[in-house]
Amino acid sequence: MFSKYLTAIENVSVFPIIGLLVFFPIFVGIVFWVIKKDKPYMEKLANIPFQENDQVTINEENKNEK
Amino acid sequence: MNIEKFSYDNQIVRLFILATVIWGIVGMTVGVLIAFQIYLPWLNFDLQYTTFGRMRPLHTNAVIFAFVGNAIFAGVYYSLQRLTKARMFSDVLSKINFWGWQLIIVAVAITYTLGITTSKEYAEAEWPIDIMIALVWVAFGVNMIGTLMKRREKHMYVAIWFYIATFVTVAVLHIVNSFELPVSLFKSYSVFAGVQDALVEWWYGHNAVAFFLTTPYLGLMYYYLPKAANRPVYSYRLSILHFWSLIFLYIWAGPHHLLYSALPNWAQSLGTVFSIMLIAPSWGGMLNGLLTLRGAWDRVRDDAVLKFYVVAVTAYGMSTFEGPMLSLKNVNALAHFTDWIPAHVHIGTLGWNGLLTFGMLYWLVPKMWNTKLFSNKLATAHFWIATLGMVVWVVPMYWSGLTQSLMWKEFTPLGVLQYPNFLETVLQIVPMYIIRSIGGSLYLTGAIVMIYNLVKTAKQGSFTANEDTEAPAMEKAGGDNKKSHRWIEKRPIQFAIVSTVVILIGGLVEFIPTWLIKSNIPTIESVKPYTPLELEGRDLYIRESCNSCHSQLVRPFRSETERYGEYSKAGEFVYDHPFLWGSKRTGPDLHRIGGKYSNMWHYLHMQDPRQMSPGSLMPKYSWLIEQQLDTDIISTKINAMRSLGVPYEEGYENEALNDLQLQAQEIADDLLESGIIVEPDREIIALIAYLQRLGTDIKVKQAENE
Repeated sequence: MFSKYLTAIENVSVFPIIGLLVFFPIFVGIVFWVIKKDKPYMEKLANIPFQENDQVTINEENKNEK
Repeated sequence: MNIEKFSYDNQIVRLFILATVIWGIVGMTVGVLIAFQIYLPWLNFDLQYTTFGRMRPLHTNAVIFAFVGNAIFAGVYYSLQRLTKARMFSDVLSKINFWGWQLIIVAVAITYTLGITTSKEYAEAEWPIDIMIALVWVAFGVNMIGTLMKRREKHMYVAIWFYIATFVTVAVLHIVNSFELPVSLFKSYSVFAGVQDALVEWWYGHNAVAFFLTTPYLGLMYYYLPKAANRPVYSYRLSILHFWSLIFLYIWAGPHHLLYSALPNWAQSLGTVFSIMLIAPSWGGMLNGLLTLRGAWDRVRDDAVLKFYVVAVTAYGMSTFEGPMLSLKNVNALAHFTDWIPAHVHIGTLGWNGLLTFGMLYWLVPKMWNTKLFSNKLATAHFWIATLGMVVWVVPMYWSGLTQSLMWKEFTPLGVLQYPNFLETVLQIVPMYIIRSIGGSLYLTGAIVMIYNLVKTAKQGSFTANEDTEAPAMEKAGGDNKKSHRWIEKRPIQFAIVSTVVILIGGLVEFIPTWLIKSNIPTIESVKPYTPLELEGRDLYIRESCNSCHSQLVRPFRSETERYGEYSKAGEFVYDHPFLWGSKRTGPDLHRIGGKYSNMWHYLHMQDPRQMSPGSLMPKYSWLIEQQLDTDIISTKINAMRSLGVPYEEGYENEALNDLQLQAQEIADDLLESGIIVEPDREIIALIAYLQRLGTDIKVKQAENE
């Protein structure tokens, strides 16, 4: 049922290659973004699970110590 | 800073925990039952409702969607509220999510037992249930994204990314795989046929493993493991890489389930390449989990929760290494259709999903009931029982898989099969089945010990349904950094969209060429649509889930063509809505069964398999002889098939019933000649008609050529 519409598109076979070409740069971009980000920022993110409910103020203090 | 007071909804988490535990026991018990049934046929109780064929999908669905599913919801509902510093978006949606999901589970359990099934693995539910699943899943997604919209924590922790990816991908997978045309309230046909259907099914099946058993659990790992270890994740950078590379790669790997099948070669290779690439992110994730415990290994010795996590994460690593190895064609040639595959799967499910769930429950229940775990000793005992159970489960299955595969492929020096009788290879591995059932029982015992421990823990503590807390309100856009703030606020939506696009591209690249199937599947002229009686017989084959144990796919190996006959061609399956290739040969392949035995043989074999094959492990199907075939909707079925592209002539729906009765009479007459008296309107007649037709279309052509 889908094939009817798809065969109507010319050169549909290049789509997978385009897909891969789009994919790869995005992925490389993410890798760069991750490497570029500074360490304190990463640490801050990694500590999100530990700044829970009533301990908010305690955690603020911890951050200052660092 | 404006501090806001609010409360976390613990009640919903408690409900999901309860459901996890209850369905876990149910699912594992059914698993243990089928583990015994496989070598003790009398345990099928000669009842159609309790045969292995129907119980096996019940087991897989119960443990995947009921046990793991509820555990995901419990874990997400607890951690998401804390990670976002917000109560769930809507209590009503939470309740719809909970009760809707339980309703689905009950509906699945009832329908599978009654033989109402689509036969597509891990998605056997019929269309009304499929619609319910879609609705409840969307309720979950809306609730989650709504919570993210009103969150008080600016940044989304990596666990949440995994949760979002889980939501969007499972939604897409479920909807695409459920394209089916209803013919009655409890019966539908997949709109895809043969090779296409197989590809969609395994795109779904593989990614159900990826996005139901893996990504949500990685999210849970990234939250609960650091919490239990009381230290942040080893490398947050690695976790981001882990996430993106995983969702980039996973979606492409589906075709590795169909190696050496009638699937076009390029698609098979694509599946293999991406599977191998998957090792990198998976192991990155595993190491990230294990290294989080750096400097805390001494605590693993004392803390049962950490023990569970360590083995769970290790099992994840083992499983994700083995998966890519199994997708290599030469390894796959050996392992496919054998017990090796369930062994591989159970490292993942018993180890990764099971143990991580147990660890999470042992941590969550004391926390939510404001107390300590009742007994760390019992939890440690559970850990050892479960680990031992897992080992006793998988080791014999690896052994049996390898043994049987080698026996299938063994030739004598004269060039004939050493073990031409399939049954011989089955009887060889029965001892392994016995050991496996002990392993499964151990694992179940461990889970029961856990229930006792958790109930005791809850009893000694006091539960807070709504946990009061406070957090600073999130800064409104309009501060110093307008643009980026607004962007961040919208991020959950954008994030969901980006992940959807990522998985869709992968999916489409896999699909588009197969949808252009004309060029990929050579049509075979002699392949004709099923006769009405054969079609009904095929539906009985589906009802009894014969595909739980029998494949319909002869691979192009000499060992298989010698045993079964000509290898299967893609063009032979063009009218198969749904495909019935199967994934496991507990019994022999059936694709070339047509014409191999007499009608009488099939009749007596269904009545009691051990009459014809002494020692056979197959259950009796004697009710097929007693029950009358339901032909009420045969014309609807013909119409449905025609609208799906099966070339029945216009108006044939009116002649179908007549044709059906004629063919049935022929078979009944033939049986009578062999001395078997049976009414032509019995189910067994239709099933025999289907079995005798299987794989014969090509033979017709060969006969004509000669």
